[in-house]
Amino acid sequence: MRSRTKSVGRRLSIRRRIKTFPMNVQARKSISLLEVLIFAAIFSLFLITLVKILLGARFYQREAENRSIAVGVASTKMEEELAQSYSGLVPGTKSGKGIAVGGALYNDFVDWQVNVTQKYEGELPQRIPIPYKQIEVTSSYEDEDSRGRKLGRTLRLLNFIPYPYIHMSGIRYPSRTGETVQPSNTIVPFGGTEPFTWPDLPPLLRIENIKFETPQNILVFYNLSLEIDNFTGLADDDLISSAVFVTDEFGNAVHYNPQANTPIMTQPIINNVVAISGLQPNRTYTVDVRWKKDKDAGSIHLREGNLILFAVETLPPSP
Amino acid sequence: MIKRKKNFTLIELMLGIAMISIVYLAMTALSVFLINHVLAYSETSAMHMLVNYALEDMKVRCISAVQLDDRSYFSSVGESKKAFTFFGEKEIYTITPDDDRDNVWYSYELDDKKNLVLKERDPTTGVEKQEILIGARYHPDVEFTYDPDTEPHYLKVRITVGGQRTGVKGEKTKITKFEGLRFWYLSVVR
Repeated sequence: MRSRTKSVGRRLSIRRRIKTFPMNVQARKSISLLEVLIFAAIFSLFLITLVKILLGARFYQREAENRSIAVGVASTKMEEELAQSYSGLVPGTKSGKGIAVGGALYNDFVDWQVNVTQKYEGELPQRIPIPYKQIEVTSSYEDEDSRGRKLGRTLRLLNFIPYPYIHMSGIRYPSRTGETVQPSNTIVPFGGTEPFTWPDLPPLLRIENIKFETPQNILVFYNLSLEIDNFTGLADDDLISSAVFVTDEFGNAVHYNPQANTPIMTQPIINNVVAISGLQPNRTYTVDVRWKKDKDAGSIHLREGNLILFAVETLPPSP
Repeated sequence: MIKRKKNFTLIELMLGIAMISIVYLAMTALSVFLINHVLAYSETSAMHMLVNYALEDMKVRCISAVQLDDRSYFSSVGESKKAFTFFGEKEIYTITPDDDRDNVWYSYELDDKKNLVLKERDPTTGVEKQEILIGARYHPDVEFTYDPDTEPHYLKVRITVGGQRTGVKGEKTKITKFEGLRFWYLSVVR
């Protein structure tokens, strides 16, 4: 009978050898199918997210580009309107597509609309409202979101042009093509005997339809150049008088001083400046220059002349 | 000693190498695709910024111009020009129209290397400067136009640039933008 101890000892020694000499036993560890599948699933999720980000970036960039171009179209139209004068801006609406330059149309996927509105500021009972014109430019275009849905985009620019503080107008003789032809009679009329009065003399140079939306003070400048056709009966101290008249819409003509009295023989040019205050808003006035000679002799006519109106706004003090 | 050996066969090796190559090529193609599109997007953004900067520069600088170069006047029936030269404020936010001592000559044009440049010449000191607004790599084109149905102190300027990289659709990006230029003190029509 063998000793049990010996076989146990032999088994034990084998176990000990296994423990102490693990290199003799090759235990291999490899990647299982399940691990590969999980990795593939996670990697796919990563790729899908990346592609979504890329496509989303593309849509956002296109949206930004379209918005930038629409802003450019709106800005260009706004500058075009701001370049006009106050009177040149007609209240109303106009619309179109893109920007037309030299007959070609660019960026026509953007629709624009310009709306000009007459507005007033300061409409308190004790204050005179100041007019201004509001310019609104709207540009709209069609865009797509990341899901391909059509979206309408609109942007709006707002600006205004205030009523001008200073106005100027003028007329001259001889007039140029397209200007109002005046006067009808350039011969200096006889004004009558002393004391000098101003009968219903015809205007020499005239500016009509003067109308302001705010109270104005005006300066009237005129220059007249004479030519004497006939000296018979004229003396050195004979005078030509000229003066400014303002006629309101009711036909009341007011003579304003100073009038200019100029010797006929020695001064062929007449210059004068007259200040007139208190022109009321929204009333139509006519400003004209009239002249006469103090002697019924000789013949003198207007060679050249001009009449200039310079108006500055005047407002009552605020309460 | 217990040995359990399991080796790869030749077919398994070849299949493994083929699969690894395919995956590597796919990763490379995806990386190249992503890089190209990111670069295309950044190029487009850069072009937009450059064009906006150039247009804003023209708008701010032209408004206070007091004199034009003889070649920069436009015909009343409508005309386009590729360059525009004017006498304007050196300090664009300090406008002194009755004092020309602080003015310089500005010129927007394409130089010999096809860069869109802003040239500045001080008539007092004779010093000349040049700023590249849009580089030639974007193939910039500029055109100043007067249309006869607009005010005589108003111009339109068009800047067109083109990218070098292709986008998603395989086309190179081209951008055209406009700006309106107003002039306070002069008329551009002769």
